[in-house]
Amino acid sequence: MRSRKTIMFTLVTMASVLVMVLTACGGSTGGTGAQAPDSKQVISVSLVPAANDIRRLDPQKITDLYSFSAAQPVFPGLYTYDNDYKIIPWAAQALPTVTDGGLTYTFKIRPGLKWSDGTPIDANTFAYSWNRGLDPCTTSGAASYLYPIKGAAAFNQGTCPDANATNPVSTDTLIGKSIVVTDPQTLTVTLEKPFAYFLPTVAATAVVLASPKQLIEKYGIKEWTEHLTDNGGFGGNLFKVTIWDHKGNLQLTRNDGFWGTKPKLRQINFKIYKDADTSYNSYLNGQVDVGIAGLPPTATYQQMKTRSDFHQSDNLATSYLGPNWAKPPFDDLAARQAFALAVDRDALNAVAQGAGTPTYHIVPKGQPGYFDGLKNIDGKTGTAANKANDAMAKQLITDYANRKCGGDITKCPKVTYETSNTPSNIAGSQALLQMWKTAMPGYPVAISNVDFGTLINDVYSGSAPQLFGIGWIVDYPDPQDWLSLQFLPGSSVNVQNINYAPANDLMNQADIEQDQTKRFQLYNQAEQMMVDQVGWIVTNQQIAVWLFNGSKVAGYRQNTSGYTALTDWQSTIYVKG
Amino acid sequence: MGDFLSGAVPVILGLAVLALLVLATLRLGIRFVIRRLVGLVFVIIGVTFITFIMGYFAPGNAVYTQLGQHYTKEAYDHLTQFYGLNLPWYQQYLNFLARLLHFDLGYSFINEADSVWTILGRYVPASAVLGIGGVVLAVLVGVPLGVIAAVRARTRVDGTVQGVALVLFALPSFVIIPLFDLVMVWLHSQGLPSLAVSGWGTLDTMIAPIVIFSASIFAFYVRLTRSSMLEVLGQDYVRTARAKGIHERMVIWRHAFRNALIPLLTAVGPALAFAVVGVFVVELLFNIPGIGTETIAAITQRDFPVVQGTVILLAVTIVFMNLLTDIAYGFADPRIKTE
Repeated sequence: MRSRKTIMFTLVTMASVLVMVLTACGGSTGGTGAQAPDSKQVISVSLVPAANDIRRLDPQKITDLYSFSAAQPVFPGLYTYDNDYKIIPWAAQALPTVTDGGLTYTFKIRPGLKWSDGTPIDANTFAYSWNRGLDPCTTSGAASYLYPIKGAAAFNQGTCPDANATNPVSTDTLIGKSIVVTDPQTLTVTLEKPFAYFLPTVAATAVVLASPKQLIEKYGIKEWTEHLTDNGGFGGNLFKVTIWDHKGNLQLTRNDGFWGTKPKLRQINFKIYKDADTSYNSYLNGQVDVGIAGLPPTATYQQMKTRSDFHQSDNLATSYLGPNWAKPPFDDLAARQAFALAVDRDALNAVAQGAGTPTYHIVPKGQPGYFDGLKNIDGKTGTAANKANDAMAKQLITDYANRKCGGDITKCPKVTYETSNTPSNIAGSQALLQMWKTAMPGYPVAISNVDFGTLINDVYSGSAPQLFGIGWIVDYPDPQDWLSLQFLPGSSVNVQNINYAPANDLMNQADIEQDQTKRFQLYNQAEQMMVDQVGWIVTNQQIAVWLFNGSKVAGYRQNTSGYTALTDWQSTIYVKG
Repeated sequence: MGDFLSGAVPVILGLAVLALLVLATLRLGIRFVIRRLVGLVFVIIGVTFITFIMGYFAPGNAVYTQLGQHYTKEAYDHLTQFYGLNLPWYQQYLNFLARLLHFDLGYSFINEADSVWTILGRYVPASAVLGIGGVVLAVLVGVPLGVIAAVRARTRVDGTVQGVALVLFALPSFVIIPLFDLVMVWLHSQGLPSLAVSGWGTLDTMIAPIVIFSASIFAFYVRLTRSSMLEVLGQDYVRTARAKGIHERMVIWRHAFRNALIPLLTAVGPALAFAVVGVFVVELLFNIPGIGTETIAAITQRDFPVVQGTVILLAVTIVFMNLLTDIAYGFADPRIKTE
């Protein structure tokens, strides 16, 4: 009896303590109405890089979307994109003056721009930053974006005299050669060829953002970003960095020294998550205003998509199967086409429970230069082209077997399809295996699911697998990023040994064509050839999903490149009163 | 609170190690301590060599992982040279050992601005508080419940304690945490106060992870204590103590429990060490900036300096925890001598 009383007492005490703790620590829901006062213009936004922290804030070294999302509001670029993929002058006064048949770009920079410490941002800043991006001592993974500049590739391939120095710098430079500061407001850049995709790279990538020379020289290449939060924060764009604890918290505070219309938001608190479902639960629990939700096949996706605060977009990102043209059977067009035609994209998407939008387009929908009239190998267009054509696949593989395997399909070169071992990719690869077996009975085919690091290693280490499944996320919204970069011989990412002369000619022409309409037409023709020749077997356009508390926050959105446009941070997003 | 912990933990750990060495010297003798410290050197060389070889021959490489689809040969060559990955494997390992002699663990391949020490200093405190807090709570709750279950063996109390322990034993933290999240989200949706479902450093973010981690392991201590106690309670000396008329509480806690402590001490020492790097699931699902998730990320990204740093941390912690256990054996049973 006594022990029961003790247990009851203990339980009641524990319950009381729990209630007190919950009351003390509890959150509350947001209100509605017009714009809240400035003191309340604070939002918390999830970023899900699947790590404890974003990788870096050094613009010239950023190669990932999450770091870019955090760095772009802090470090100004000459241009940016709005949500309709129109190039907007940002630190530049206007669009550049292009002369010499597209070889020379003259940028006029707004006068009076300053970092938050008062140091001017001018043509010298951008010349320094771009040159720094190419300097071999910077070891930037994104230097190739600047290769259109004359001499850039050779400069980047040079050696660094002392890589272990605090602030290593090459003895060579492009400043004064192809990157010329005419006066503090004028930057002139000469290109290797009149590459028409140069401006999109300048508007969309991190490597061209301005970097503060004064901080880099003071603290060194490794340490300088650790000092962004010193003395009340540092920045030169809409916001400055005020907290970066590397433990999941990155706080940006409005930069009152910004030259143009200042954002309504006073603070953005980026919360870094390792897992999308945790971000989602934190959103539901009122801990963040913007939650990045889990993609299918997560269980939470099915719950989320019925919510009124759920948002989904088809991003400029595709999943594709890459056949290696140098490895049998994919050195043969009929075999490539047979494997491509056997793929039923709708069925594949059903297996992945809606993880993407089925498509056979290489250049994704929503991207400038999208080709609405693109046909699949069998001449079909639109949604009909997403279906498998088993009859044609069988006919083509029989033809291949007759020519290359002595008429016995079982003696054809075995195909191993390699992709990553995420649950959705395992399910997808099983479905693909079944499709190939159904369309091409007897053809020896197997799958290999490996971790993503191994897949990347296998794909990019010199001898790509016969057939691999991977994705591509837009670098800059120009068809060149989806066509010439992927399929031209000599391109660093053309690991599939693709080389088709008629398409090469079209892409080479398009890359330097200055008339945008003609240029896109050339790319459209090249894309059609690459579908017919099976450069990629695109399976879907990837989706992005997020939620935001519309009763508290107005105007939040992500563009289809996966981040929030500067124009939205500047004028659209605010906290309601 | 989080900042305080981050700053205080290294100092506390340093003082604790020093105190441990002094205590070990006093209790176990200087030769024993030196033998253990020399053994630690071989342990570190052994585990780092095995980790290095596994990493070296495992498929994948940090440079490919870092560059991903931004791969260019130039960028690859620069980074490979920068990290010293172009050197033969033995030279890479010898360089690592040479740096280690100067307590230099090198820099992360992926976050190249961060030294491994910086990464350990940044992420170990949260894991240490979570792991050690969880084990301590599990011991504080599990051991008394195990004793009660043993004393009242085969009664309703024993059945209840064992039942609860078994249920929690069967419910891993990756099941409990989503359930907890559901409850908190529901409370929040009803306008009621709720605990945080993610984050670390404030009271409302720390309670649930520690309690849930503790709940997932406390059954082990309940069952271990119960079985040890049952064995001891059947010994002649316990019967003798009771026959001498000693109060039952004294019999249980002074005579029986003290003798049942040895297996518990053997289990708790390594458990504390593993808890620091072994709370990966709790860290992941509560979004806690801990070394467990950092290590998993380092493995997947082939960031071997960070992996090596964690392995060394684990090895050192285990050696010191074993030393602590040896000292504790002496307190629990003075008959146990150093030899």
